[in-house]
Amino acid sequence: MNSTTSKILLITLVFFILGTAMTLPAAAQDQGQVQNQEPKQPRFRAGVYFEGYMINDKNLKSFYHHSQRNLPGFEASIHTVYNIDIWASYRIYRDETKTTFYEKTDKFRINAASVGLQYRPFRWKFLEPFVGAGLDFYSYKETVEAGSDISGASGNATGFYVQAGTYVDIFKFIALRAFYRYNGVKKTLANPLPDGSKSMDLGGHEFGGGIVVRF
Amino acid sequence: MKRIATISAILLIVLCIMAANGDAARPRIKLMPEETALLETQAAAVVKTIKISGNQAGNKRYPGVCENANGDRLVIYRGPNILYWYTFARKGASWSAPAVIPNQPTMKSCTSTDVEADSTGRFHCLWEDLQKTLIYASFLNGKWTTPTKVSSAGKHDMGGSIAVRSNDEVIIADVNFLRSPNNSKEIILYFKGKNDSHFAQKNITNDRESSTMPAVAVDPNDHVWVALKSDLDLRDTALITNLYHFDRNNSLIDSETLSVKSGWNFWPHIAANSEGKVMATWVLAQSADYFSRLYDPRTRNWSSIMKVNIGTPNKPWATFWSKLAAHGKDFYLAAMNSGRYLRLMKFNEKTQRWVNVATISDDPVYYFDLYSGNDQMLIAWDNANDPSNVYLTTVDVPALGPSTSRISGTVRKDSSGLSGVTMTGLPGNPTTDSSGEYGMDVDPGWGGTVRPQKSGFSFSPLSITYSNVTSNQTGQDYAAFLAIRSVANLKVEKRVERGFFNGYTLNALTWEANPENTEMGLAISSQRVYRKARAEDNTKWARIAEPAGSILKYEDRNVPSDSDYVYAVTCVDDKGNESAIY
Repeated sequence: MNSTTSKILLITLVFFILGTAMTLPAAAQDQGQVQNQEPKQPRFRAGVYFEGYMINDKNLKSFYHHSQRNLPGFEASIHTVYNIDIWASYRIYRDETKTTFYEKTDKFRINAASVGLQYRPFRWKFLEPFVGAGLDFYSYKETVEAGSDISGASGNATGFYVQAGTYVDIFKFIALRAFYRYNGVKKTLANPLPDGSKSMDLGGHEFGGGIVVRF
Repeated sequence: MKRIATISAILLIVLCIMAANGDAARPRIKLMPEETALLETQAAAVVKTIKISGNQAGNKRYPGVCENANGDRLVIYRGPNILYWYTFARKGASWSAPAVIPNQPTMKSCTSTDVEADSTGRFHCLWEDLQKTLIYASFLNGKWTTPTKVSSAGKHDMGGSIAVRSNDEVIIADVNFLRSPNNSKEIILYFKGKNDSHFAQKNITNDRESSTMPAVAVDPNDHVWVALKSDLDLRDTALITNLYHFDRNNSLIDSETLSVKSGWNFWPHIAANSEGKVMATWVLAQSADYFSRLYDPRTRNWSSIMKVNIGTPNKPWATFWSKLAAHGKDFYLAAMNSGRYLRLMKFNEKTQRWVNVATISDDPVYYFDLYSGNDQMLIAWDNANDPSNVYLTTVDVPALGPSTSRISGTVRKDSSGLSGVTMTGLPGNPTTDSSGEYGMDVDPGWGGTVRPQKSGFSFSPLSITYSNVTSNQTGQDYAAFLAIRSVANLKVEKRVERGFFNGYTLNALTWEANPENTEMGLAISSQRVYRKARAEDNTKWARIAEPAGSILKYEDRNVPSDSDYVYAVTCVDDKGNESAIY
């Protein structure tokens, strides 16, 4: 996916979120009785989670021999209006293998940051589902152990994400969070990979759960 | 009266025949019927005999004869008044007038003459005088050098012999008389190089053997062979014929007792032919028989003792003198028989027998000399029945043809000669002897590439190429090295070293140390990796790496993925010798 397409898609997603944010308060007013009965909701949420990241790139999966990596993540959000939060997350994707002949350790790391909006349209009993979308900012780096003639490489990539999930209330200030997220992060490489590929798809599916503190 | 008349008639007929032939003493072969049966006789040879001594009064004896490469011939002999004379003539021309050899140190008779010629045509002459001193002088273009004493005055005894190497070094075998023990004698070799002013000396026997009667010969490899008589118990009861073999550096290679160890085996003679074979003869005095043995350099063995059948039962203790000469591949032997006649014989190698060629003299002979000319055997002899003359008999033999050139040298490993190296490319592919030396005659204009070969060795230079050889090529030496083997079980695999973003193709080489190098005790200091494209020829090998000797792999990195390289890995020992690429 080229950058123009990504931008169009991101703008569409932003408008979708904003539109959702504009329409959902009306729906919420239909349930105003319920809402009015609830205490004022916390403004901040912060949490940790543990997720599985199923990266799309077939070369990465082939070379590092993993189709999924489990990794921790951090997230934080600030409530704005109409159950819309500005939401951000940070997680580190790591994989490791040996070079093919000299068997030097080859590490691959993605510092993945996501920023977007999250909308919690309603609360049903102890569940508070959400949807969200935003932008991904990835920084990747390959490091090869000394002793090989191979040099690593690094770079940046941007993309988008969409996600959905739910908070599960545990206590007043603590909730669990379960989610699914899809990332679309593609990178066109200046130099082709050894197999000749010139594009890299760092996006993929994320799913996981964590705990969130609300205050 | 009838008997006297008959004898007179016979004498008259003989005198008529002699008169018809002028002064020439033509050979008169008087074979008895039983002698004929005993002899193999080849087709009649062309034999001519002439008187060569001058008209000076007095007896003349002890002739020596030689022909040089120019066809010049020299005869020396003891003349009257105990002086030494010479005569000289170019072949085909008339003989010069006899003249005395000037500046002789002693004028006390002369015996035991011997003459050899060198490559320049110079004649080298040897004789002994009655003051027991060995005298040497040389002659070229009508001029004599001043005769000099080789041995210490009064120390010489019984026999002397001269030979010349291809580098014109003169070798003289001398007998040194010792007062004790029991007046024993020892053999000394004297050497004088072309530019030397004096002879160097080398003792080859000791006083306990009491050796005399040396005969010296030089083979085509410039090895020196000395045959001599030794008195083992110093009481003249066990005289044997011994042989000593020296290399070009005059180091003793081996020795051999040629005769049986009993009886009086003496007056040995020796000659080497163009193939390097060596013939030795000697006389067993009590049976008056001649014997010979032949040395083959290819097998390095002496033949068994061969009795020389000269046809007539000899008179015990009366036969005592023979001379050998090699003519190309052939050996000729001139031998006296109990003073009855002097006969020339030729050795038939196929039948291992000596074949009669011609009878040289029917008259008793005191002394004679035999020399191989280009197309004639030359026999100079004195005559007991005509002591005032010296004769020269020529016997036609096949011409040697254009002069061959000899290619010779030494193959050494470190500082020692290496034997058994086959010199491929030379005619007959000769092998080096125990001293590492080789040599082979080649025809004029010969050309070719000579390459030494021996399993387990490599050589430097690898080969020598010749073209239009017209002169002797000496010193064609090679250095031999233990042939280091290249590595064993070399395997090449095309592999890829890659990370995620980058990678390259490499050819991974693996091999094993060659066990033969270990067996030879070679210390492999390094290995050299060579590479070329498969399609390139073997001159395109490029050295790309030199890993240490203990490493058994190498990766040729960053090669094009579609490359088609082939590799060779050689071994280098601690002296820098490298195995061959193959």
